Amino acid sequence: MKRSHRARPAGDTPDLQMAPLIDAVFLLLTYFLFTISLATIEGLLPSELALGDDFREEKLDLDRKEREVVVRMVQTGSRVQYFINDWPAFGFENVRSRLDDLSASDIVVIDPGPTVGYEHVVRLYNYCLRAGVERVVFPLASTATATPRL
Amino acid sequence: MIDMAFLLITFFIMSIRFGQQGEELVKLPDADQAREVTDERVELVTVNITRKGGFVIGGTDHSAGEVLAYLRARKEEGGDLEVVIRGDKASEFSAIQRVMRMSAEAGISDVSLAALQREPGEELE
Repeated sequence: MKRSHRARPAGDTPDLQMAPLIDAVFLLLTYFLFTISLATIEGLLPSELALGDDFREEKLDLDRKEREVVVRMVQTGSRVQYFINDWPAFGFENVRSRLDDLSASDIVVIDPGPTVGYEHVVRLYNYCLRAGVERVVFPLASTATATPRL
Repeated sequence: MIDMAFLLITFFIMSIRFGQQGEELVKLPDADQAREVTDERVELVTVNITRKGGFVIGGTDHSAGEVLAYLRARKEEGGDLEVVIRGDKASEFSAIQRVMRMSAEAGISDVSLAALQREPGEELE
């Protein structure tokens, strides 16, 4: 088959069509801009359910070396009050300094009251993981309405 | 001309998607320790919790009883299940705890809390 071939004059450079090139660049730019915005990825904070009486009774190991810290959260107006092992903590900073002393094998029980904002719970949980505490549990029935030890 | 048409189509498609996201009922809290799921053997069951404490699964509102029935049905189907709780950051913890209880009642012990991933050190809201 004879291929048609148009000879290009010597010294003549090929024309570069700029208009479709710019269109394509804009198209790609739009696509990447939108995908970058959508790339606010959701992640997961895995948790372990502290199964209560209704489901499974956990054996109490008296010889265990790890410490257990119960952080109770009580919503009072627009603020959240924290209690560490029933002792009041003065603000989230106080809770953070207490969590910084824990090791990976220690257990943190986060016990928020029913009206505590989920955002505050996630903030505390996130900080536990940041402090290196691997065992963070949530009780299935809140005790945060109980009277704190003062 | 065709290029421009494609550009406009792309823009409008993206705009529509963004419009739907803006109306999304759940605004997740931020967490720099949130991680992606790497184990593909685990099947995720997502329960959304709205600001007012309503339960939404697959875009449909459900009562607590329906959520429990759904979780039980999924558990009976077998396989490794993990419940992902996508709670609105302004929702109350009682709703989250309720889903946790229902998960336990359905025999699902793995429960995760969804959050928007942030870089470590990035200031959280």
